[in-house]
Amino acid sequence: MSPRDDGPTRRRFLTTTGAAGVAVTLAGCGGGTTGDGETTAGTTDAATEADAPSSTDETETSSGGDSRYGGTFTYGMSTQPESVGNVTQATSVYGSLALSLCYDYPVNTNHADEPVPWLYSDWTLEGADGDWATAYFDLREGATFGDGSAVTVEDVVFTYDYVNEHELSAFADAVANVRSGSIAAADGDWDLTAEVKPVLAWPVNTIGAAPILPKAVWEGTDPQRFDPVAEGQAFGTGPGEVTRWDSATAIRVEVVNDWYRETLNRLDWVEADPLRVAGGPFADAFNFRVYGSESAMTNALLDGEVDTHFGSVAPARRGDVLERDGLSLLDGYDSGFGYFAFNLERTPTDDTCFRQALNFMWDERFWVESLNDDAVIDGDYPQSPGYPAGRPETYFDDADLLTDPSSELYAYRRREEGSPAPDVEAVRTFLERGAVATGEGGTYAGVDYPGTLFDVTTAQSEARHDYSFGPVESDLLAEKSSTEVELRVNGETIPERRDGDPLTVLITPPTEQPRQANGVSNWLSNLRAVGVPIETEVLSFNALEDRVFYEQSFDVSAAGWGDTSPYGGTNYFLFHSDWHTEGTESYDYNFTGYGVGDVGYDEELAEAYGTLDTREAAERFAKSMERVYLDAPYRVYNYSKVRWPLNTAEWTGAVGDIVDPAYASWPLEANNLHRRG
Amino acid sequence: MTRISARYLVRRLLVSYLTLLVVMTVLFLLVRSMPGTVVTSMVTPEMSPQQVARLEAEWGVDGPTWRTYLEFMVNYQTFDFGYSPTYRRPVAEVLLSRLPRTLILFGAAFLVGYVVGPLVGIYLGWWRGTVRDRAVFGAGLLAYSMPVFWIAWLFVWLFDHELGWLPSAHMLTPFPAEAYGPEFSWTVWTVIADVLRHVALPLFSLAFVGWAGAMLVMRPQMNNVVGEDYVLLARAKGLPERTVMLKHAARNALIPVVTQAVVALAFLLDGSVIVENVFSWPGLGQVVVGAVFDRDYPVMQAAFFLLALLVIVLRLLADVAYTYLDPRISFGETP
Repeated sequence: MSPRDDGPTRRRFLTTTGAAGVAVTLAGCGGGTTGDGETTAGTTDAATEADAPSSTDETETSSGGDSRYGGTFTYGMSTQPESVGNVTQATSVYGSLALSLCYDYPVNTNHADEPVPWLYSDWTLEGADGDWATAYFDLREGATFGDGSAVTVEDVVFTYDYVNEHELSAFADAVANVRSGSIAAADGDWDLTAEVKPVLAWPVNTIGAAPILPKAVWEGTDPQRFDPVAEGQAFGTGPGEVTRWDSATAIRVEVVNDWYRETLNRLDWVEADPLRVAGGPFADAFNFRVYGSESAMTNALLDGEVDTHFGSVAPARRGDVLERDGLSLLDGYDSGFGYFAFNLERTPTDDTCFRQALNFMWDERFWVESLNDDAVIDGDYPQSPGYPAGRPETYFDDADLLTDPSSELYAYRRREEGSPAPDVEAVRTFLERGAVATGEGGTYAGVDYPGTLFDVTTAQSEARHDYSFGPVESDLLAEKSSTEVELRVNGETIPERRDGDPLTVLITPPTEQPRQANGVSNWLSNLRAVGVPIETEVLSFNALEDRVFYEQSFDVSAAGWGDTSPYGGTNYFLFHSDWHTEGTESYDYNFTGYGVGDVGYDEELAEAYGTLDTREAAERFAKSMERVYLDAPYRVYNYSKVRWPLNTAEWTGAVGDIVDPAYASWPLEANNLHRRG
Repeated sequence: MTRISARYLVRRLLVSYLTLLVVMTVLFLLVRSMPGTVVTSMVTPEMSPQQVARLEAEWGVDGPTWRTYLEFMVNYQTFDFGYSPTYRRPVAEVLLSRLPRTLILFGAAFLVGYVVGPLVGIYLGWWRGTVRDRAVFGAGLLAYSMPVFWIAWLFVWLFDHELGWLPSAHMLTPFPAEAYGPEFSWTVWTVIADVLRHVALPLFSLAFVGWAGAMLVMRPQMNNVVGEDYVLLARAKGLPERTVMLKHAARNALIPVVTQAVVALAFLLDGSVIVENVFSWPGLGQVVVGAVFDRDYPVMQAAFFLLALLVIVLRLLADVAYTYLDPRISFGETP
């Protein structure tokens, strides 16, 4: 089970990346649903070429007589959203599920994750060489809000002024990447102009970074106290309007924007997009039911009270779902990954050699097969396979996604038949020699490694510290391991260097995450066999978050669910030194300290993030993935497989094998779903 | 008639007030010792230090601790609990909106438990040693041994999923037009009927265990008074058996049950957390759990304050109730 169900973490990562709030789809083809109780899997091909979409398409169609239209789709969730349906205050995924159907972003992305015209019909950027560039863009003619009123230039200007005035963290990119007060009606051929930062996928992350708010509704309001649902004004440029918001029980969104269905969602690029069904959303309304627990939510699915629910079905309940007529499980990828983080500002975790040695001892087969029954995928790069554009394998014809040997440096068990024991001696030798798997081909800790795809090499070419082994002195190793030797770092044991304390791995309570606790226990057992005195420290999630993300007071931490984005752009936030601060006052995306010292990839990450072309940027980030993999500020240990349940007896059109169908791709799914027959 | 002197009452009130102040201080320190503040989840790395400072000032976490403490002590005594960052409403409003829902469920369960339980205990204690007594006592002991959440899930499975007789989630049908037809609209009677349908299963789950606790206390107390002289006298006077049992014996055996009942009332909130989650009952328990995970410190703090206040007040009321139940008991000088 993915450790992603912690509310605060999710809240945090909703605001981390520019693409987090955008309904993006995977480059590739989906398998769809079968409706016969089977799971489906589509292909996961690399990004395909797409023609530049026309920016002035108008197609006429009518929904009358089309039997796909109609019905109410019901979605279950087990966590309460915010108590007010206010999009400017929505930082949790649960509220966003409903609000994303009402408050649409003005720039969309196609199946290749390229920014495409949506509410903005066209745009251009001038002066992209400097820190700030000038964007010019047009508002699509005929655009309407959910109440039928026209979307005007004034609304766009108002929105950005409002966002900046109130410093709305829900639209952090809009605040950071658009110069305050610069959005204005333009002279000449364009409707609007703005000063923006020339960043990756700039239309999405600058002028498209906030949904357009109707000025007539929001002007003069206090965003922290305004309740648009209570005022009967909970609509934006999306297809829906929130007509009911009882965060403890139920939320209802009714589809009200005909222009959205009949014009916007029938643009040429939508008609041509292999993942989209033009003309949606087809349901008349979406009901969201809130339950007190995951069990109650899954029971509701089995009872037919809901057509789907948030997240995957728990492994123990999958059999129940598949046995139930009319229910199917749709395959997908989690948008994040499970990982351990190392503190690069402490000894010896500041040494690439040591971190790689720790990585060698993680038993990936035990984790994937024994503990998780193949419900997860062995992890490697900090990039979900659901977003292959940001992964190195995508750019090499003979490299297989997830299984290429270049991503298997640390996978000592998967590369051999049978059940090889951890090669303790090989890892000891690796440390004693001060070796570093630099990215060149070779044998490291007994593992044959062909080298990286992009010919990337590590920042360190040899160990920073001197490692040796001597008699066991730590009580921890004496009590919990049968090892006869203990590691010395520069002549001292680790406890001698740390006032008697061993290394610690921070984890959340085993009762909350028993599999993770079990996997970590196995890992530490292997490490102690090597002679590393290391133990776990259990903290509540909130306490762990503070220790790791704010105080950086940790050696190794199970940091839970990490977010990724289509182009790999998350790496810029996670691993660039700009996002690391000293002290305890601020939350750090880059809490490991990667890039602060001499181990980092700052220049390349900044260059990638400043690349405007998404394909070029994605390739640069893919290269950074290999560097991060070798430098190992993280040990990515899995990607969760999503098994999204769906009432396929009544509904069809859902897309499989994409990222997060229940959340990140939910707006796409909501637009596609339609009744059978 | 109560037998508490004014002087004693004043003294008790003063002690209760001081107790409340101590509890509030401990609560303040406990919450402050937790990691982060109310603005922690609002701050993102993109924010400038000035933005963070403005946010902290807005939520009152920027001042010195002593000032925050004084404001807390004054505000809470006027039931000003501040503003919830999660709910975006005054905390008092959030808690008050949820309290009736918790009271509906747990108040009803309490009433059922503390009417049925003592009644059964009276009869069992009166007929102690009989086959009937042993059978019902055994059943009660078994019921009391079962965790409420386990019973709850069992009933959910049986009455909702297998039999489909009763709903197991929510307090009201979330989308009545779908369930009852597009012409349906809520009236007072349809609301009552729908709530009764939804409360039946959680109420039954709570009462299934709740009655047994009261019975287990009442039964031995009843047995203690059965052999008392005044009971013998009442019988000798020719009073009906039922009158002797209820009016003379049971009344004296009630005192420990009253104590238990008063304390149980105070801990309604404590018990509501699990049951409200099992039955998706939108009450106070759900709010408190959510507040802990979401670092909604104002809500968390206020909920715990109310619980402490409830315990203190009900303890005082229990003492008053004692004097009514037992004429031998008086506090202070007899008026």
